[in-house]
Amino acid sequence: MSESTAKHGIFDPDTIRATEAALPVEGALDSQRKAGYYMVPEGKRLTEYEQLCGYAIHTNDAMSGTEIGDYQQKHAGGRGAYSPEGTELKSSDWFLFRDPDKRWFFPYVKNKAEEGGYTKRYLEGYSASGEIRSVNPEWLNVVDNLYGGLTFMEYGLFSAHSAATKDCPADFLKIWISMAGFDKNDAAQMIQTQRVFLNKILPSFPADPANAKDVWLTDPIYADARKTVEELWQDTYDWAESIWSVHGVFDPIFGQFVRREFFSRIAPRYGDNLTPWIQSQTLTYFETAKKGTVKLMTVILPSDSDEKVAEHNVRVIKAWTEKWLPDTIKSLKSFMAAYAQLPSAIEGVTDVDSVTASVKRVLTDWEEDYAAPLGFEVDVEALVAEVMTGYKEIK
Amino acid sequence: MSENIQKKGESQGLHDVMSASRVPTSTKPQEVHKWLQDFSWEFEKNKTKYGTKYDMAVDTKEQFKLTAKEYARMEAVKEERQYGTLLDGLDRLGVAKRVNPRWAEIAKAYSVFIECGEFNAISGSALLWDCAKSPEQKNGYLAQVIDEVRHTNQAAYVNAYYSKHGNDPAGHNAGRQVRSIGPAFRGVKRAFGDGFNAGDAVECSINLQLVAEACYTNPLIIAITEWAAANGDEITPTIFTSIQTDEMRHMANGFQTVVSIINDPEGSKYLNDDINNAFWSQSSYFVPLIGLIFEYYGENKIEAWYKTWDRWVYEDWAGIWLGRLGKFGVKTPTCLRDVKKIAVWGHHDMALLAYALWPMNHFGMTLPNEKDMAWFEENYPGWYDHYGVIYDEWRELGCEDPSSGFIPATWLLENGHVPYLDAVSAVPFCPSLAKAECTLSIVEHNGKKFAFSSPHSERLFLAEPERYEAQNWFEQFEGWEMSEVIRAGGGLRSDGKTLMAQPHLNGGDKMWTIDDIKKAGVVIPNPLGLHE
Repeated sequence: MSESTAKHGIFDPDTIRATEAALPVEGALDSQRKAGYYMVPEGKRLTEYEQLCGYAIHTNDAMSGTEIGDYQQKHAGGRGAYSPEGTELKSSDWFLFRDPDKRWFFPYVKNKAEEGGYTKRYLEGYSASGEIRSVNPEWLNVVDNLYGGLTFMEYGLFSAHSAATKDCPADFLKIWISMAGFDKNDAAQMIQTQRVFLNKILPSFPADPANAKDVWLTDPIYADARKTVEELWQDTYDWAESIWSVHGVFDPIFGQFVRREFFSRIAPRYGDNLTPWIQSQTLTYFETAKKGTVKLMTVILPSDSDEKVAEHNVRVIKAWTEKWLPDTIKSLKSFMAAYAQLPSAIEGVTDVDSVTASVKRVLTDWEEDYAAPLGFEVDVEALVAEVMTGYKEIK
Repeated sequence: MSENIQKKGESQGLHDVMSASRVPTSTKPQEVHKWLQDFSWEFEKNKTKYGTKYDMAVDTKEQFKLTAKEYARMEAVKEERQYGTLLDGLDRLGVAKRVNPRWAEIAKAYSVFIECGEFNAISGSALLWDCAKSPEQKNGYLAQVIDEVRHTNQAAYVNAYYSKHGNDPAGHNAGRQVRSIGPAFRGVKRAFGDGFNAGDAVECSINLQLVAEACYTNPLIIAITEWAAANGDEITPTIFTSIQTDEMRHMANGFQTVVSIINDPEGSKYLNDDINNAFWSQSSYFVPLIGLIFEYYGENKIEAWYKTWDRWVYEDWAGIWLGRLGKFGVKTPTCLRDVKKIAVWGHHDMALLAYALWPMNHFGMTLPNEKDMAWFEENYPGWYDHYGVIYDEWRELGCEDPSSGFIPATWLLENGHVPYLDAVSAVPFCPSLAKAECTLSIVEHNGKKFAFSSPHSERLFLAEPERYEAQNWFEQFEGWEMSEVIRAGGGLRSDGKTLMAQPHLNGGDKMWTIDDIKKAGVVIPNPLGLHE
């Protein structure tokens, strides 16, 4: 619409007169000015997030009075777009879930844009200060080969969100899941960003992730993690199981260990402050995902207004935990061999007692935050011991 | 088994960190994006969870090469501008109260209808994200998923803004709730909902990206801004032109979807059928609906809808856009000529039926006034003798006056005009009243009857009946008296008795209440029941 051709009725005297003449003399024709007033807010007042997201979906699972009518076109075979069969879990009201951070689109991208802007400034400062000169060159080989493997882990976990986004039958949930998937995509890309940046300041460091991919595909350190990620990605058809298996089991254990306890903790000991900085963003995304996962899976679904439904949900989530925990522990056990690949021992970090403490931190946190609220009993000491059978000391 | 990491490192050599450059630098998104194709790997179970007859190529690239952070940066700037304009400039100018009341009324409908499409496109894009093998394509579809979250919020914002600042919040404040008792919404659900995410992934992409976005967002989201502005509405253009900036990437996604399947000879033999089917089922609903929105609610009119349709759909989309895909074997949809005919009279047919069932909406309707009628006759010769006479008769029977107890829906049946809903597109049609081409056929399947307005719809149904066996609006409310439907759907204003829907926009004591509807005693029939 060009300036020369567009007609703006708001400035046109004839339109203004006609509009004024057409307006009802009594003024506003209704006093209810709150969009979505019929929704039950989570807090005291309806938030903008709830107004802009709530009940956008046309699903038969919506609360009475908000959606009436059949799906007008279905999948081959007759299944509707969003069907209760998409998950084993049940709910009296899938719309009870609200993102703990109340993210609709604008606040979500605003945060991410700020992170991106700060990343740019950080990298410029890092390169200008020559900070890389204090990095142990042997450690850079670990960054290239081993740390780079996380690109593929995060990519696989990102891919695990597609079907969950598609099948989820409630809008608040769907939007939250899509953002969790986008964060995982971002996490994979941030590791590649780090790689490309290192290549720019140190051309011998490859931008090409080929070395890391080779390690991800062939090295025993990642073999079990890769297998688990493949199953998380493609072998889970239940959208809620997808979310729990990724955000309730694998990522809080394996993901948190490799990100926080291994790479972020060890890198600075070799002079590398860049890696923990990059990972700090992913760790933030982890906490965001954790809030929503814990709220949905350990609070809302287990306390459904229908007691039978609540009990059923707890049984199912526990069964999923039992299903995914062994492979997750196996993945972490195999990863323990990574310590032997480090350039040198680090006192208080890489010895068996310190590593045991690291593993115990992660598993204790997991038990407290995810397992205990469900009444899922776990012998943390036994799990730690099992993981540590994979530990190989630096020679 | 590869060498261990230490040995790998030794064979790669040590990096001379002292030689590192101290020139300040960062990374450009394209420099990161170029490596995305390396992120995936082959493994036995790596196939989509949704059935598709197409094989999407693993090396397909995306046209817009955005990383997640660059995407966020770009979109955050757009959001700042858009909401800044709304909350600062437009608020201070009091624009919501300066919109022509008819236009403000239809904004209750088009915004919540478009929102349905945007929301279901989240799932449609996620379906494609799952089916794509190429990491770049997955990246592009994921960006679209998040875009559609944006568009859902934006469309909702139109209603929220009008609700807070406009002259009549009723309907803006409850569109998502009340829309579902309206017969019009069923077609929206199909064309702008289920068609995007219930089916073969590539077929859904064709519905969503190739037809709805590349073809119909131009008139629906761009042309509408011109009509809106002409009628004093600067809110819709502020939001909708911003929506459309993302649609460019979605059209590119659709283009690349075709590119990704074109080398699969088995799959690509279905492509033109899928395009034809998508174009028919979307167009048979959208074409009349968009024309109705523009011409019956725009007091200040821009141009005849069939001219807009010709320009955007016939020439631009079917000619230029599909022309670019011609090298991939894409052909013009065989139903194009039939759809072109709908563009002339289809919206007039729909407007008549919509007005007849006015109490079932969450927005008001008006009879065409003299100025409207003169314009219609000038642009559609013969309009008055077919439609104008009916509207005049309804006016005389008192359709605007609650004391008359007259609802035009009863006039239809009393005069032998039976309305049906097409089982595939959900478009309402009335063969005895239609001036657009319209042939009634009824098929019985699984003990139930289904009506079709065209052989195109019937063919689609017979190929895959289980996909279209749905309870239609008449069947759902058969036997209900109208006021019961309105109460069940929440269609009352905050006084608990005045309808959100009205047959005029004059306000005052001529507004219909739920008691007026109850007195009229209109019981919803099932037209297919007349064919026992």
